[in-house]
Amino acid sequence: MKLTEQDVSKIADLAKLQLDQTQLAKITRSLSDLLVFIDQMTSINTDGVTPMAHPLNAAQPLRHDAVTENDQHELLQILSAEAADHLYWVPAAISNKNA
Amino acid sequence: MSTWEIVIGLEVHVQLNTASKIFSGANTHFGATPNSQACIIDLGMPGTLPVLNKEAVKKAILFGLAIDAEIAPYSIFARKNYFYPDLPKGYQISQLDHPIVGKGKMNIQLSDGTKKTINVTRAHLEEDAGKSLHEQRSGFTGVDLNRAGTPLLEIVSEPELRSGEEAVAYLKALHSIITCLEISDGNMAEGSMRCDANVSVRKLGSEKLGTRTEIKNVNSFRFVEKAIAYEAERQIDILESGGSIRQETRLYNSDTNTTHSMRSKEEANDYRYFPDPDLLPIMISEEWKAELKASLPELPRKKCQRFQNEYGLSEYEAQILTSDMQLAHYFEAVNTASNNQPKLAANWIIGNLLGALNKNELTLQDCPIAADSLGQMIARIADNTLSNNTAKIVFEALWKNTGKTVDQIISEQGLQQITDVSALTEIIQTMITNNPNQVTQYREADEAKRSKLIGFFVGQVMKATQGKAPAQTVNELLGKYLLR
Repeated sequence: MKLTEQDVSKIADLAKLQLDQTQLAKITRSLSDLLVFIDQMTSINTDGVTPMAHPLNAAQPLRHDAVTENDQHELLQILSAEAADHLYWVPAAISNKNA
Repeated sequence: MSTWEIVIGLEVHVQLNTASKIFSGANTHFGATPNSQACIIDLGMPGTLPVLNKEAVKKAILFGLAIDAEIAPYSIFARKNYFYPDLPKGYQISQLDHPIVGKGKMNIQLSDGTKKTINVTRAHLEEDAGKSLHEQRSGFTGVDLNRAGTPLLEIVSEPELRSGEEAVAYLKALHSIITCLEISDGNMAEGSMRCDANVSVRKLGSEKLGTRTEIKNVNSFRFVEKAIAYEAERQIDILESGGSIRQETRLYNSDTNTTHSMRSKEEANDYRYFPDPDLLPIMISEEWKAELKASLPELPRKKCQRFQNEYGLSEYEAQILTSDMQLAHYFEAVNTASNNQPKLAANWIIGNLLGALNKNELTLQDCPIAADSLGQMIARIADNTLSNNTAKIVFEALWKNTGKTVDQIISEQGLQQITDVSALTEIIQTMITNNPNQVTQYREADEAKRSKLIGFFVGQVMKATQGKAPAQTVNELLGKYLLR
């Protein structure tokens, strides 16, 4: 399977990445190479093999339902570009454009 | 008759009432100061890892068992990628291919008594996003991440609902199951139960589904019905005038009762799901499943049946009383306190109490009348101390919640019925002497007319006794003396 520059441009858009023409050509090539490799893997006969969701053969440990975290918003909000009145402030996000 | 059929599928998000979040130990309590309950995991800080809350998994399984669904022995979390300020990680941890709850069934009943089974496609666990506040500051969006990471169970129905009324019946059935299981408070106004409706229309008899739109975040049962009605009408208008429906997400505005386009679905729904490498598969053992199954409470449908069998209630009464588990508990407590007067208890709760709560915009939780008090009042009706009329006075006094007992109210306000037959006979005889014309009229009338005329005499007796005469005794005595 080969990706087109259009495909990559769309994926970049979804990932909020800006690529110039040179980068776009380069990334299209390397992603396509990756897909060739994946094609090679999918050609292997896996009949009777259970699909694997995780490389570790283990079950998810479950946590007891208890509140263990306290309010650290003052410390955490130091990291933010803008925080006031307990809120983080970001440039206006209009729901019909950004989601 | 309309030649169009409305096809509705619902996606309901239920906030599970765990103490801590689904992947972190932060508090989930509603209404806290913004960001005081968002820890480094909820904020998606580099280097943090999610650890799954056992209680959230348990509640999802309980729901699955309650709707006779398959519980997946092996289920996995996936990342749903999109960008929004209230989703700090840039992805939501959700489930795609292996949801924890598979196909199940919900039974609904419409107001005309029609029963229908709606298939549930799946239910999966996921984390909630934070809240964006768009209106406080021009040019900025405020972000409160307290809700980020709250466990959600997303319950998806098959597109088998055919009207707004069916959609509401489904939601109510769902609401009574989740509140009965105590896995969520089901409070729609606070967002503990949120509903997105997929709506499309097609020509009656057609098998092919029409293009659908998704109506987001409708926050009351009433609005669900209205939003669906509006949206179906809008689609029919477009199709009948030769247009076509655009697949999109629409927001419902309850002020104008309309829906408006939110975003185009084709581009936005490319969520690039993939299995979350931070979380291992959830394995659910047969033992755990069996243990949870054994712990299931009596579910609304069974309770409704029992209320009819055990208490002799009508299906209508039983359904109202089991629509909400708190109400069902309240009814049973009233019945016990009344020394087993289930019919009277049902009448007073459905006819008077629910009406008063509704009128005062209160929920049962804020009800000023304790079940014990209402039960005692009903016991006093049953033993003839109170008539229906004087009981209303007691009910109003109890509603004011002055701390007085039923018997105190009765004795202070002198509400005790006149059960002394000779006193009543005297009153009736005086009344007969004072109203000779009406008595003659009564005596000359036929049976049918008499039953109308008797109302006048009953009224006179009630007036003379200030409503404290037992209706049955009055009727018996009137029958006896009027015809003498």
